[in-house]
Amino acid sequence: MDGRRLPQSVDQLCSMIRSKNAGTAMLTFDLIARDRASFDRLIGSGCLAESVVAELYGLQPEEVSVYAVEDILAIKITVPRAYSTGAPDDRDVYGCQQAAPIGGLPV
Amino acid sequence: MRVLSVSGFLGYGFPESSFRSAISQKPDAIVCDAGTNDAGPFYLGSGASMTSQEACRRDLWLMLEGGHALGVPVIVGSAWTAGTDQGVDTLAELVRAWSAEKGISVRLAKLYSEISATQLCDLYERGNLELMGGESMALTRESIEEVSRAVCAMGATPIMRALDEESDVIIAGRASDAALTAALPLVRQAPPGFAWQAGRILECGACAAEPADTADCLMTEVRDDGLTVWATNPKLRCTAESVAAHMLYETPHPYVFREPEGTLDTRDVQYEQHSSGSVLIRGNARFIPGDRYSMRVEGVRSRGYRSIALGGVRDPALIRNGAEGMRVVRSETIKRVEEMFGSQSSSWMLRVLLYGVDGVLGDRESEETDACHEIAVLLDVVARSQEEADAILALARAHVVHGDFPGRLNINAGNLAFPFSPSDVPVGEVFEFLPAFVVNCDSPWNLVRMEVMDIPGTGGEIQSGGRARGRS
Repeated sequence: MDGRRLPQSVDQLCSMIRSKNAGTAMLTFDLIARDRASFDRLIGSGCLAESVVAELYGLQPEEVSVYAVEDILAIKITVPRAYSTGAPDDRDVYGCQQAAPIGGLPV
Repeated sequence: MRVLSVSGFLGYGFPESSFRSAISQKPDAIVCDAGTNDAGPFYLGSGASMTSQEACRRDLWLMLEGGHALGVPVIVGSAWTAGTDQGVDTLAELVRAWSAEKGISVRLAKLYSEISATQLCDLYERGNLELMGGESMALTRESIEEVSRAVCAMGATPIMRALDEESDVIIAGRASDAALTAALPLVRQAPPGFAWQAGRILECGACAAEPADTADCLMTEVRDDGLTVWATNPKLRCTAESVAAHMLYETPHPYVFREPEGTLDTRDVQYEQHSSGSVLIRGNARFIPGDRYSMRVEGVRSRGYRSIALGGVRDPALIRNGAEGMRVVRSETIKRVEEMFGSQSSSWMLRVLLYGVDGVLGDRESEETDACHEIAVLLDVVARSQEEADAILALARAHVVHGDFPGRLNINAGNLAFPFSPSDVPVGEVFEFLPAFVVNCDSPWNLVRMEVMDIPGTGGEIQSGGRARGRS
């Protein structure tokens, strides 16, 4: 270690973090790591494990799908929506403001 | 062969310079998606469009002009946002108006894919409806019976058939975004994997470019050994990263894409920077044909009527300690409203959303709000009728404005700054999507209907070509 602090949260390791609807019933998070080392750390640390994401969004681990796309250093996470897009109880019709809790996860 | 996607959405207003440049590169088809479910169930429920008729006319007329100049087909899918039958007719009317204005005859194919609640119930009873993977809600006969409008998302097959009819213009109801671009390469025997991947990349205009711009043009050339994509606006460039990243966009899986005709699998595809602004895609883009023709169904049912009011809070006594004062006012308001209208149930609901506190994430919010000095309060009521929603909102608004809380200094003044009068806004009917499911058929023509007609270009009546097929 050279004394510099390693990035402590998921968003510090990413060049892109977004959430978006995937159809009317699913929400998907796309993350692209800054570089290979950041990608390896995001995957290797287990900070984006199904169980972690499930707890964050009030879901069961089996409802969470996490995909690592190594060649483009991307991680895709797909979860069911709490409500279908635009249903009376929904708060985010486009599903585009849901990624902050994932970005803030400690690595 | 080349396909041009002018924009991610008809009526977003693609730059004419990008379009003219694209036309000079001689595409073999000009396509544009005109629909989405992303903006929620209102558009399917009401039949309204997200973009204006004037904006759709401008974009469509430019496409028609380009298509006519090159003698190539113009393909528009998911007409009028939701892809209803009426939406197809609305865009078809814009085609007729262009034909009359320019004195140019047009062979027009209209593809309808609306499906009735009765048809859906019948398909449900026969076991032809299948919940999509990841859908957590159940599909019941009761929920299907309540459907006020539903559409099937057709694939490439109906569009290919319309191309076989030598249509100049194809206006499709709800359709797979990718099918619009894939159809022409498929007709010309391109490898299906590359045809469908071209469709996936072009579905959102120049979103796959850098910087991403949904309101701009993207071109593809599909060949036997791969495909190339590039933006025709010199300010945009496609990079291997931007194109690969776009394949992730709005899709549940990073490289498996379900289409009505089968499944596209792009896991063994490579993205190479070809020139400064274009990307070459090679490798093994697999397309695995499905056993049945599976169309995604989008259906909505009415959930009542909405009224809202929006106000701002700047009183520190309401905001401090994590907006403790405002939370007290909120729970007291809900209590008082339930005293008059009964407990909240499926017949009505009241939300008091606190923006600046937890308005977006609700229970999932973990940030402290102590640092904020201003919050927005949204009162949101959904009830069985507009009158009932208005009545509940009026009561809720009164209690939020005048509610007491610990540490109050604004005695009897008011808790909300309203930016306008009246504060209460009737919003209209509220819809809800059915769970996501597909309908499995032997052929798209079980549910999709095609009408081909020759518009004479003299402003006269439309001559029906008598080539209707599909359900009668």
